[in-house]
Amino acid sequence: MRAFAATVALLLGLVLGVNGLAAWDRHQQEARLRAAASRFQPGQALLGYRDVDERRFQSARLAAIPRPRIIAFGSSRVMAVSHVLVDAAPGAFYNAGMSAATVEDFIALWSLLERQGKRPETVLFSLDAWIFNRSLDEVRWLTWADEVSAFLARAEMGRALGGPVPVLLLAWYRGKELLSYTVLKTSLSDLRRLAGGRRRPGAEVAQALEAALVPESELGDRRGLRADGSLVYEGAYRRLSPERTREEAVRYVTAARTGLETFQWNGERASRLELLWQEMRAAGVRVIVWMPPYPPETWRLLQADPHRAAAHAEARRFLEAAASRTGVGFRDLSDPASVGCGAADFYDAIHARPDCLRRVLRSAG
Amino acid sequence: MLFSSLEFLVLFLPLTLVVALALRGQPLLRWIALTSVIFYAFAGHWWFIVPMLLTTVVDFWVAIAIERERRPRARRWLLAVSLAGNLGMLAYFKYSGLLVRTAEAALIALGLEESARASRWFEVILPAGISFYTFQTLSYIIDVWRGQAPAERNFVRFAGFVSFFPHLVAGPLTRHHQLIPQLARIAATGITPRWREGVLLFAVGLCKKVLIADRLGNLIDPLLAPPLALDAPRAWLVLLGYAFQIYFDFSGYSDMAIGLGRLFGIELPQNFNSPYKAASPSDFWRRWHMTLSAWLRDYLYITLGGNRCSPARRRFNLLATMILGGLWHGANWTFAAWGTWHGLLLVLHHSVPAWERMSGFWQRNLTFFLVTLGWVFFRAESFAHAAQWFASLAGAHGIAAPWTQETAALAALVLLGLAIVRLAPNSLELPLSRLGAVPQVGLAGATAAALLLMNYGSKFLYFQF
Repeated sequence: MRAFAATVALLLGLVLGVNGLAAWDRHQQEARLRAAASRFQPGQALLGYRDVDERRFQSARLAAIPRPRIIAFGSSRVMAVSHVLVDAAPGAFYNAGMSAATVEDFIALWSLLERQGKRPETVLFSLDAWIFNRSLDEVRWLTWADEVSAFLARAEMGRALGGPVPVLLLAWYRGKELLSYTVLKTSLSDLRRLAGGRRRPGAEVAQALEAALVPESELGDRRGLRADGSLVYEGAYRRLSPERTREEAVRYVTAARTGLETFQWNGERASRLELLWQEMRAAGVRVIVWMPPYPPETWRLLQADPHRAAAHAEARRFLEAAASRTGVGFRDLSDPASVGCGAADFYDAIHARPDCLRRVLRSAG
Repeated sequence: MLFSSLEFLVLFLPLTLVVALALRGQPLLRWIALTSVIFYAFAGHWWFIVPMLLTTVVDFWVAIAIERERRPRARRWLLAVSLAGNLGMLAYFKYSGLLVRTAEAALIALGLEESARASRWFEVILPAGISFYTFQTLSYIIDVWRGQAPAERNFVRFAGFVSFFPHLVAGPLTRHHQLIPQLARIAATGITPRWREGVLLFAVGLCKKVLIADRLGNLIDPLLAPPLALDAPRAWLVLLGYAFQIYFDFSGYSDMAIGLGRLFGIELPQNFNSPYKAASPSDFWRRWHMTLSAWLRDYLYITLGGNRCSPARRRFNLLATMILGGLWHGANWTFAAWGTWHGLLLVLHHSVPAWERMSGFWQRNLTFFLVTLGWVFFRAESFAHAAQWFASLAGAHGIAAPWTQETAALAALVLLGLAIVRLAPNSLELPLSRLGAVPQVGLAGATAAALLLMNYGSKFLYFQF
């Protein structure tokens, strides 16, 4: 029994040590990032914006920007929405879209805004069905797992119980993460990177903010991120033909990249999203939600596959019901015909061009 | 609250056990009952405790009344009150959904969609474990009525029997004579934990659940999503995978429950005895979910007449028992089909003398094959789903399987499962009290892996029953 207990304690101690060390190093890195993010001003663009840790970037940016009146949450499919498309003055809108953003990302973004006293008047959600797929091992949000834990501790139980309960719950949630396999995987990868003399996660963000800021007018054909968080695609990408878009659509679906393959409903994530909407609505925030349009070919192929179509329908049913329960506006605009977008209105198999996004925003209200 | 959660392992269990170790007599029993109710309140919805407490209070008093009453007619009425209460509650929570869905399908078939939609008002949430504690109290009441057991006069002890958290949600289905005397003993002498056998058995169960059953589930569930159209090799692989998933899930839970019982100085009954080594369908039911099989035999099969009747009547008794046993597992006609399948296997086994002439090798493999085939009904969400699965097994969707990473992982887990169930001793045969340092280190490594992975697992399959 001693050998058993000692081995379990030793192994779990090792895990705690690795996760604890990686967490400490991350905190050090975040301070440098925040300082760099404050240099990014309206009228400027960040060149490239590729292969960066978007969670760390957004965390640093939210600390630097003034309080936005409108904010957009969603995956890369919302990232082309700029302040011009939502008819807002510069500084009144911020696009917090990120690649493969999921519910926990939205929770973290909201928590950061709340903590910094930057609660917006309106939150736009562009939601993809795949965020409810439990079989996708999505771990990027773990970068800000602390924020998610804090939100859940407060919203799930803390409010009902009050007193020191939220603080204790938060400590508990944080402690649990130190014993999580997914966190261990991330920590090991971070530490391996350090040990190999490679840059820390997020170092590329700081470096970009320190060296790759140009006036927006000089962006030209290059890819870049505006100060309002909206993405400008590179010229070559913008000029892709509708035929190429169709090819991309076929490849996207046949190569099983839709995130709807092996779909298993993630009830926990769905509950968290509804909880987030409840919190937003209780704070008097207007919430507008839509499922973004696919190019006609992608949509046709998705609907032709019963499994993917069923997954999409399940997500839509939940969003409709949750929106109705929480007083949130919801529209399923996945079918491009519903907003009058054609093949030419898309960059590739999933990303809409600004004209189509303008129609989406109008339809979503 | 799940056994395989940090909340249970780090907060609930240590606190419950530490306080229990310091108590004796009524305070100890009160503590066990109270913590069990708290455990149950976190098993889904807090209101789950209401039907359980109702059952506890009603059956405690009804049993005493039955014992005091001498008039047979009055005793029968009292028994009827308890049976109606228990079975009525079970029927309401568990089977009203089935009846509503059946009625809904019939209404839709008659073109009455509006009425069908209205029937959804009657849908209710099933409290976890209600089938287990209802059967426990039923057996107690019936035994008191038969004069085979005295009525328990200590309410706290009775509440502890009904709610003792290690067996509350998914068994083993523990009978009064197996638990009440043990509760009386620990109240009198205090708890003497069997640390070594308890902790190590719990660890074995946790590893079975998290490292095998959950991994299998993660691979199988996406492939089984309806409409199911798998090529034959994968359909068979998934079927074998499910056979092992349900075994490691449920027997893992039972191991954990028995291990926890030992930490409180209580020995819960064995629930699995290497069922996939069974040499016949009858043998399978002596080894699979043994506590339920014994319950069905004692309170249903024998009540119907058991073996002491004509061969035709005996066959009817077997079929009826197995169909009802199937329906006990869930409110879906597919479970009735699963029960019928096993009923037919039992009838076949009793009627075909050739079975006994087969070699042990063929008996074991044929039993395993037939039992595994039956899991299709158990896992399928509907008869249409089961038909799709059978069609896939028969090669209706091709016989060439693409060799993907997932298929390879599933095949590896199936082979591991097969090796364990056919070659290894079952958990209760393991020499845990004298396990050497090296196996302990191996088990510790697996346990640490299970602790890290358990946040990503599914719930226990038998929680739904």
